[in-house]
Amino acid sequence: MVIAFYVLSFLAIFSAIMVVTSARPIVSGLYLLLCFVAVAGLYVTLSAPFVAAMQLIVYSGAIIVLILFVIMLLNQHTELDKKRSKWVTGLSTLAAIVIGWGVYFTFISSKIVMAHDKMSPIGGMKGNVEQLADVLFSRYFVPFEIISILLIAAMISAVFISKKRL
Amino acid sequence: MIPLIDYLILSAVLFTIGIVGILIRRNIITIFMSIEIVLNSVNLSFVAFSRYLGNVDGQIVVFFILAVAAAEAAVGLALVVAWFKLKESIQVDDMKLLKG
Repeated sequence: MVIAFYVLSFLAIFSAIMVVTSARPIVSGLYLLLCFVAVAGLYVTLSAPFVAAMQLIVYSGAIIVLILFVIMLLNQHTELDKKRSKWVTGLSTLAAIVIGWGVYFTFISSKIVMAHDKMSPIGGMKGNVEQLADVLFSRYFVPFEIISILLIAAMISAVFISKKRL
Repeated sequence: MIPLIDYLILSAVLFTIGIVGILIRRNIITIFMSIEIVLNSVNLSFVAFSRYLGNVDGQIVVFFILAVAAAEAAVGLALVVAWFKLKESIQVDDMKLLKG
């Protein structure tokens, strides 16, 4: 399981770097698929099979297909020449690394996080879906119904926006 | 056993890569993919906390984030297609209609 964690996290980080650095959007999309599959594997190592299946179905099944479909529809396979200076790129990379270092420092300095070096005995592969369903349909019932309204609204607005005449 | 902090460091690294992508790329579809990487890193830390604290609520939040990400993908890509029909470009530097 430790080996699985390290292999999957290497895959996830490598493919995320390739998403950001590769010049052609279609290559980025395929590396993004690899990143999502690696993160789904990490969910399995965290014994959350339902979330892993959701990740595979929704992200790698639906969103990636949508993104690749739009890339092929727009037919813009290469990025144009860089108009922005190296300065701005370097400065934004530095700013992003400072933000990420802030997140890292917050985790490191938290006593609660550092105290948990073992997985909890409660909750595991067995009965994961039943537990999720119990909580989802009792405590989170109203948000669950509101999510369905959100999805309908998103669908209608997507159809309306992509009509010929606005 | 893997400690919790390993998962959180992985999540922070993915978050940083996603933010770098949002800031340095100018192709709007690549920026969109970077936003998805950021959402994934947050999901990963939610599931890790849920597993180590023995509380299943974190996985429910991940479920909601997945639904919102799907809605965001549909509307965002529809906007990209509408913009492309108007301007024949997907570079964010060309999006300056509001710039007086």
